[in-house]
Amino acid sequence: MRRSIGLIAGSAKVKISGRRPELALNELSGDRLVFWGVRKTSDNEILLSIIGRDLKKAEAACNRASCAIIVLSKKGLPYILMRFKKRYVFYFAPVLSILIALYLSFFIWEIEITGNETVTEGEILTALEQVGVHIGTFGPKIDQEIVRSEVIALIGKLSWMTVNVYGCKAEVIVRERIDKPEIINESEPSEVRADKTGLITQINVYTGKPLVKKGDMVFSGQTLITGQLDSIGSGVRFVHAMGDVTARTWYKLSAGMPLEYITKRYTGENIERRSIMVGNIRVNLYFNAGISMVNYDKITTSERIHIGGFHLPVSLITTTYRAYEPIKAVFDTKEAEALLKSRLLKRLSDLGAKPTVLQYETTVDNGVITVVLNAECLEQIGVVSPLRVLPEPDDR
Amino acid sequence: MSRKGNVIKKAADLLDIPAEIITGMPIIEIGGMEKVRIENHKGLLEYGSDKIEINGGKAVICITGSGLKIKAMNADVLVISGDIFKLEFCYT
Repeated sequence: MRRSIGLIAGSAKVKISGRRPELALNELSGDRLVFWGVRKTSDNEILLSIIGRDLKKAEAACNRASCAIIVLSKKGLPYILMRFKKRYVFYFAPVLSILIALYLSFFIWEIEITGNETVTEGEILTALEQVGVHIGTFGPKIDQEIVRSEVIALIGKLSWMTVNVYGCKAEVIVRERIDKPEIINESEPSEVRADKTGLITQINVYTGKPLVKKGDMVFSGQTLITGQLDSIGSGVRFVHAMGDVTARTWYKLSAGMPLEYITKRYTGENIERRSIMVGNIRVNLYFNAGISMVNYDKITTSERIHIGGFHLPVSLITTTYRAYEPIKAVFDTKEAEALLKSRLLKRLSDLGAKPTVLQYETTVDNGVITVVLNAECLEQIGVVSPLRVLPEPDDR
Repeated sequence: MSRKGNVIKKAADLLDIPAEIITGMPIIEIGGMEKVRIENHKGLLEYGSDKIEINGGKAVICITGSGLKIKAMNADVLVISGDIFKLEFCYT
């Protein structure tokens, strides 16, 4: 504790010499001066430490005890500061630092985007960059109205956005456009056609006249429900045909792949390259940029440096080069078959078909595995299309 | 002890006051065998690593030991540390 006080307040190590140096200690304590580390080196000499500012009082006390005092060393904060007394740059540097920090606080160092769901942050950042808002932009120069209108014009999916600048941080809040539902023009004459070949299992007609019935085999493009109605009283009438037509459909899909493939075997040789991104400026922390490896994977990670919760515009970028050698490998037949089956099911699902019966045929020929999927599905095949022969205007 | 001293001591006993406060006698606290704390001292008479003599007013307190050091000292309190072998009073 006393040593810590000595370091902060400054302490001096002194040598008191005289006929009876003990008397000097009495005088020092009598004057209520703090001292410590008392060590008698000889009959007439004592070493001790005292607070630096008490040196003059200590001299007077020692004189009273007919002793001499010699300062051996001085240490502590006041003496360190005194050493820098004439180094004016130490006074100037903090002021300069504050001014620089103040100046830099006007720039955007962080962009935070919220409210986006389908539009990616990358798209928004690119659009913002195009209109002049990026890391390093002078904050007060940002015209929110112009940025808002230009970004919305660039990204059609956005309906609203705002840019709030808080010091070094730009908060971008966006709202995405909700797509308008498809409006069916029910006054337009139309018919329902089959978009796939199949066997009808169910037909529900809302408007129009069915031309097929349950159990009929229909072909792609065939009219299922017509919008042309015959009326006894008013002749031919045209309506917007609507209805659900469910049919049994069949698919034959096939997929194949060679059992032999090329894979990577990592050799364990890695090269790491580090660089620092300050704003948009990249500073490489290496000299030799060449990579001697023939085949390698390049993995780049970027770590934003932050102090507490405040993100600095500085990122540490680490690029790792992992060497590998290409080697031949052979798939297990069952494993390959399972992979192809899952791919075929994915394709079937992408077609919108709901399978009821699945049958696979697997063949291996010349190192190539082929899986054929025969599927029976149940699905909606009716699509509303314009009438093939539009009526004359007078007939409406 | 002088006649005046005796009277003061008796008065202090009667009033249930610690006599050393009135008479100015030193109060000595010994902590284990390594530390001595002396209040109401009148200054050092001799200081060495083997022997320290302290003016206790009516008596000289003589501490003998090895590696004796003054740990803290001010006008009222003196703390001595080290291996203490003996503490004795030498009446003057």
